[in-house]
Amino acid sequence: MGKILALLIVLIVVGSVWSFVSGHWWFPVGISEHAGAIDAQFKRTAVVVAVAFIASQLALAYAVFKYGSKGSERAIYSHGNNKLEAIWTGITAVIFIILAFLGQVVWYNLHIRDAAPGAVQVDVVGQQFQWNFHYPGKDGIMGSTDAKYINDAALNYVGLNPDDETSKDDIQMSILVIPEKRPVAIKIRSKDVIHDLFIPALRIKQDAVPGMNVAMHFTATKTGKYEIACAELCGSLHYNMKTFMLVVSQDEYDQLSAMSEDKFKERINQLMAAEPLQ
Amino acid sequence: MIRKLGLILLVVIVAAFMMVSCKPRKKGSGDDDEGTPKKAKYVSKADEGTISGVIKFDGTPPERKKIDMSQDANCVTSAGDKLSDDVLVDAGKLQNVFVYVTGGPADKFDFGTPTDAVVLDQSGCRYEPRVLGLQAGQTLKVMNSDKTTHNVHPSPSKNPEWNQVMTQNAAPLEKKFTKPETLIPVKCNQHPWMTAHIGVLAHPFFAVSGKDGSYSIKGLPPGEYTLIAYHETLGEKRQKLTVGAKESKTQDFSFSPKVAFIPTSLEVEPALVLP
Amino acid sequence: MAEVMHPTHGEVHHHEPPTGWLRKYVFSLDHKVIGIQYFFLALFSVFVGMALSLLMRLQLANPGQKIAFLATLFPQAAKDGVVTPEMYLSLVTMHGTIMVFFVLTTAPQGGFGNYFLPIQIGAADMAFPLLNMLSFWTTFVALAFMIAALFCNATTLGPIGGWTGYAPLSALGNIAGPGQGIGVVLWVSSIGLFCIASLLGALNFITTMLNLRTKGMSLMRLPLTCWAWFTTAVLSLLSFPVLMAAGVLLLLDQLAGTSFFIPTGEYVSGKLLDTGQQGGSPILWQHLFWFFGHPEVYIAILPGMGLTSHVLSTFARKPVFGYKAMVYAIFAIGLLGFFVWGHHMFMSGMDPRTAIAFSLITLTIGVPSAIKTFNWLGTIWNSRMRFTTPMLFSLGFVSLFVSGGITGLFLGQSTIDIPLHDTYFPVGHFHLIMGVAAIFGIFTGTYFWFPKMFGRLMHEGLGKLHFFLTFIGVNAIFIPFHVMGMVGAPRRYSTHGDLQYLSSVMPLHKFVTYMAIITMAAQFIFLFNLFWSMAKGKKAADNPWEATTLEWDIPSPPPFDNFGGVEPVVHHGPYEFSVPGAPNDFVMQTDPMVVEGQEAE
Repeated sequence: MGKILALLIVLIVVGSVWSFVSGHWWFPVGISEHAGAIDAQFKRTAVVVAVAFIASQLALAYAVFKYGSKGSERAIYSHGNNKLEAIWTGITAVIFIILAFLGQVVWYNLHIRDAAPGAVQVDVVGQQFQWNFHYPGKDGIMGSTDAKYINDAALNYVGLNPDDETSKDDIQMSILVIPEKRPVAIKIRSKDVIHDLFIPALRIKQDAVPGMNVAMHFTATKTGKYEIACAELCGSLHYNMKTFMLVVSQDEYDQLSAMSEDKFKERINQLMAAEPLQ
Repeated sequence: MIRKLGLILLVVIVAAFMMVSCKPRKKGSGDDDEGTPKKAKYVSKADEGTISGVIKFDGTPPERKKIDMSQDANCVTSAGDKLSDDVLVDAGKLQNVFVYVTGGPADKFDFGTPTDAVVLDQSGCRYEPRVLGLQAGQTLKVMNSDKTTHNVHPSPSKNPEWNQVMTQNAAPLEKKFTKPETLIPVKCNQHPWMTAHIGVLAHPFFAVSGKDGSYSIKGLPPGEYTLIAYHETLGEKRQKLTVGAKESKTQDFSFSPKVAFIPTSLEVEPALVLP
Repeated sequence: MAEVMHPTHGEVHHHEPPTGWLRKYVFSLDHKVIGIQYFFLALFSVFVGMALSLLMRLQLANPGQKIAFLATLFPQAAKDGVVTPEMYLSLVTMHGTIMVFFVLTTAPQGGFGNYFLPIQIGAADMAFPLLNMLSFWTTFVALAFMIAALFCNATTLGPIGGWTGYAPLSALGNIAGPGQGIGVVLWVSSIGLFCIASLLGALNFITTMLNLRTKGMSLMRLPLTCWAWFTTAVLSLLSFPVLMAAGVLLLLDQLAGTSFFIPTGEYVSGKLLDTGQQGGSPILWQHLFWFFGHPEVYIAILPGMGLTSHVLSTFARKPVFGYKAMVYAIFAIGLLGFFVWGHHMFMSGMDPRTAIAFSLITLTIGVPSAIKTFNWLGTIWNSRMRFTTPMLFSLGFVSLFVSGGITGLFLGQSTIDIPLHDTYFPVGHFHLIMGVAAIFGIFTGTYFWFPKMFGRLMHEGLGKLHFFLTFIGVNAIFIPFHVMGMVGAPRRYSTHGDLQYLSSVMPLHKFVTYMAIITMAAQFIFLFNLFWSMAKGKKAADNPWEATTLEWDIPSPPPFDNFGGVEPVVHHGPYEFSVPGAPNDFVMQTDPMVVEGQEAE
């Protein structure tokens, strides 16, 4: 019985390790400046995890294989070994804490450090079940918004203030367009319930919370069309709350920024149709 | 003592079960208005009249905006002009105005409930028609002709709210509103631009203005009525009138871009009626 | 019976059992009957929860497929025989809630804890038998409410907000989604009642363990199971009131129009809500929920950890490696468990600086967990293991605890949580550690204590078959979840087929569904074994496993007042196996014999 269980544990270890390293299932290719850092931290942690996982499972398998009862022979009578215990505890504590500190560097850069001055501004507004992206338009200034101006039937999804001069040229669209290799500062909010802006390729995930305005910033490094999903349960069509992100060249972005709303959307739709999904 | 406690617990459990035995279902089953006495069945004296007219729009209609459907490729490739149509004006005539009567014989008699269903289709990621009326208890049949997933979400104030996903090729939904209510907004949360309005009335005397702005309400028993023309964003207009035996009355309305008055429902107190 | 009793110094206080059927089996004050009631409540719930997960698995493997029996079962919610997206979400919600509250919280603590804590400490009953009965029946009413929530909406099966019920989705009522009105009201009422029940239970456990220990049962002679139950009770006492407060506030938001969790300027489904609902905080719900929610993870797993230590030692015929370290590790886990709730909220929009603190504390919680693993391995090292079914399940527990716990190192770091949060990765993680490992704890308990509870042995062959199928099955189900999460498959999606970057996930979903069906089928072996053995199993001796603790000192099943009114006296620690020089390879706790070579305590 012990031998079967030992074999089974070994098989589980092999299977688990295979599923991680086979290459069939891995993160999507990262296309942001911080994606590499997150992946590197994942790999660092994966080494620790793999060593601990394999060592303890194999130790378990070995013990199960080796120490089955044999006739009336008795086990070794021992209540433990405090020295071993202390060494083991010390080692794990040190490794875990070093790991935790290393991991916080990326977090700090993404969330705590301010965005670079001159970053491209985009406001993100989630609603059941559509992502709305609010661009400052030709004047480069975000127009003011308020919940009281929101009117879905009149296509004012983000609540642009009609009396505000700076909001007249603002653009709302359900596609996220950003330039490559230029810092982008986004502010995320929601109109109704909690959503979560999840852009796998960018390694970006942030809840859109009603009543809050969460700021974060990133830099995309590769042009293309990518998928955006919602990662916080927001209602019956949560699974269908998806859209796309276009990362365009800086030239293209500058041209887009100078366009009127209709031209802007027309151009985006052209790009959407032309670009293959990455 | 223990036995008593046990009994009390049993009672609590049974009560709990009874309490939770699905209140909403119970509510839905009775379609009587709160305590109103049963109305007499209407017997025709073959003297019914008609009200008809044209809804006009004064001034420049708002510009129709292009709707951004880019989040759903199935909508982008679907047919339709994809222009906003909340205020739809053609040559000075306003479409999609819900016109209905209240008061007089319309409220006194029971005119029966039609057995045929009223259809609300989802096509080109729009509701078709945008404004529709039906009688309380009449079947509303919601169809999905699109190659995409919608959800149908009316938010009434008097009828129970519902909210149902319709995937591509889903079987039509058949629903009823049991209480009169004007107008119930319907929304697709997946495509937030999609809006419809449903007027639910206790009688069959309603119409929706067509492309030429015209409407006509037929089969009205002679009597005094208030005629109401309701537009989802432009508000409502009222007119008291008397319909004589076999009379054909004409009553036009005209709306202007300025929002007149948006009532929350049909049962507005008379004091609120515009002069 | 008399000959198994050991000499005592106290008087004999024999209690007669009640005679009426209702008093004996329904509204019983006997902790053993209540324990069995809890056990069967959990058994019923686990099969309900499992059935719900089967529907989810069928939908995920073949999205939109027609399931023949579905339209018959739910003529309104599944008219076409298809799991609709909203129905899928209520399956998710009800599966999670039923499993967490009515299985993982009730079975190990309410079930086995109730039955065996008094016996293992040498008491005749719990400190407050009436409270104990009330606690069970409140749980029962809570379950009735929860089941009612399943049937109270025509288009779904209940609330759709997930077991975490995040506000404002859960606070806004029907406008936010089907099932979010009356469904949420029933759901949160059920949880509120459950909180009351758990509080009553927790008070009872703490008092019982501190005050009713028999002569000689010093704290450091307590079986590790007792320490686990005690710590769990303390966690319950401190965390359930917070959930209850949150639940009451949510109920007020739903029914009384308050806005604890609803912020200003909500525009929901085409309507601006300005009916006085101002200034609430959605994040507040998450803080309150997870302040309960994280300790809840330990409430589910700690009894399993205690039991695993106990059973490993018993069948390895070797004392627990580092008994004191084990006790302190349980405390450390319990204590640290209150300071890490924020790691569920890294993406919630809370102050990003707090994430750094939560990350650090979360990784330190790995240290006591590592101690436990190390000591379990230490216990079986150089041992002489008897591979009985309960032993197999404990070994399985250790393996699953390692597999499930170790991935916490990824999730505990806010940085790595960015791509992994709310994907299948955490779903795999918590299913392995708090779901399946805890369930393995429950299976261990069932196979281990069944002879004591019902006086008969369970069938070993069937038990082993059940173990191997289940052990293979759960690994094959939940390990693939991790890689799905790395690809980026978000949880609570009724299909992953609509996102192109997830195309590699779909074949895995099919594989997992097949595995799930096999694993679920294997549970019927257990069910059969359980009921068959109750009626037809081999008669059990008083101490069939040659174990040392007090419950094995009395007849199987134990008499009404456990020790026949005689107070047992304890002379040893709980895990005196293979003591050199002793006549048997185990020394019962009540055995007055002192053996040379035995370590001083």
